[in-house]
Amino acid sequence: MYQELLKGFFLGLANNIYCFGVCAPVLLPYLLSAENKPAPQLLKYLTGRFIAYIIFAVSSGAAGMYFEGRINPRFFSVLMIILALWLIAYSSGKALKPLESCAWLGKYFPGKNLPLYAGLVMGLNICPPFLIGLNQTLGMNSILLPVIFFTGFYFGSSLWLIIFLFTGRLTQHKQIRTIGQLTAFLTGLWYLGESLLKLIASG
Amino acid sequence: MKGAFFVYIFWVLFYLSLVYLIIKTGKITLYRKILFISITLFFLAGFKIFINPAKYYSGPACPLAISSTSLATIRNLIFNFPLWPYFVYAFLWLAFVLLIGRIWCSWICWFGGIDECFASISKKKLTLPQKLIDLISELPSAVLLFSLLATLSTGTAVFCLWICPLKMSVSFLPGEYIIKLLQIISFISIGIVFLIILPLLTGKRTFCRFICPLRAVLRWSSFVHPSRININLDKCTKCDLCIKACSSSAIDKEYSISPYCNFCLECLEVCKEKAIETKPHCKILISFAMLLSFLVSLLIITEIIKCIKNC
Repeated sequence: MYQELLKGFFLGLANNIYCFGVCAPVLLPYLLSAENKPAPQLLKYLTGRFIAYIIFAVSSGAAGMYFEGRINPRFFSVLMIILALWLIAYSSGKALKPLESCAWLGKYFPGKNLPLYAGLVMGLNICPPFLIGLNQTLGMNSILLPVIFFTGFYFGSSLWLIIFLFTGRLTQHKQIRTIGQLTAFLTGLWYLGESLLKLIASG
Repeated sequence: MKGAFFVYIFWVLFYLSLVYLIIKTGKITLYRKILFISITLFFLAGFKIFINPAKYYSGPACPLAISSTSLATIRNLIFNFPLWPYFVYAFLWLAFVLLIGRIWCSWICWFGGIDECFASISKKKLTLPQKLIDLISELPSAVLLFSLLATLSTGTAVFCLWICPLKMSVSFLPGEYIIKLLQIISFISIGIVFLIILPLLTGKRTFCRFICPLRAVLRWSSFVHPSRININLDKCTKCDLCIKACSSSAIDKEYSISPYCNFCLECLEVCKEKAIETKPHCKILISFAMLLSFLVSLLIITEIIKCIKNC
């Protein structure tokens, strides 16, 4: 059992930088734009990511085949679109706070649970290291072993994300928070466009 | 080649005339713009008409590319040693730009030259609301951060492929026609809006001020860069001439000059009280800037002549 844990951990560690690259566009702008400390927000994000990994692990163990083969790829595009729209609304609400007409954005699209949802969606996003992991769990004929494997993978791939804990000091400056808000808006637009294209391409 | 010799002689005489006119008349803005726009036209003609980058030129011509292209290539091909000269060239450009600081923006940069050209043409100028300026004041830094993060995430040079209005990179993403079409729409619309329409309407350099990620790099490096510009409030009579003259909306109502100032020195010229101070002294600054722009222009002309000779 510990062998599966270690295998997963080292696979995640080897692909650490890739996971960092995928998560950074969503996580960093959000953390920079928020006035509260980064640790609780990062924890929510990591929790969402962990939930996603466990969902995959259980499904791959139970179904014995690639998760993506069972779920329509449009599902992930829709999840990404929701995340993108939430990012756009959240960042607009923050940035446009001085404008009274846009105050409703901040009220209906608060950033409180955004990191949890973002972690879930980014965790469900299948990337090449994840596919390698899924391939490893094929034929394990168990639900527990893939869960252990992906738990190890999760911890290995999350190490670099700890860097985001140090954004707390930066957010004390108003300019940094503004940059975070604007970047979150641009990231939202980017993911919206990308996901819409994938949705259209998937037919 | 005789023709090349005459081109160089013409350029040197043209340049020296501008230097003489600046010293004689004290009109920095007018002659700086002439030099600046001339370099831009040379660059555009050379890079878009004479030089086929795919065949002739393998490195990035634009320091903005450093924010995307090299990072993407590092990510994808980190152990591919034959590409190291490419990185050295790209980083040399960035080192050069960081060394000279914001002088790059108003004395050499070809994006800035286009922006300046259209901003100068406009006679009737719309004023951008201060609230809007405050809202998007840090947009260049956001564009830079977004470009870096998206490049790290996708492994593609996001700025070059999707945002760059000059399309400095000749590559398009492989795949479906719809992707190429979206790329074209993206960089043409950004170029038309921020390099042409808004400068024409407002008389301000809107691409430089609100989009350029290199501006963001220079903005943050200005904390350590030795060049400075500020308003001496003891001499200032708050006539607002500098605020109106500023091409990048970098002077606020409290008469402080933001790090997004592009060192065009127009405020210096309009200030009757001589309240605008630069470090080093403006004469040293202008001499340094003109020398650098002359050297870069020689480089561009040489590349064009080499290409014409080879073709």
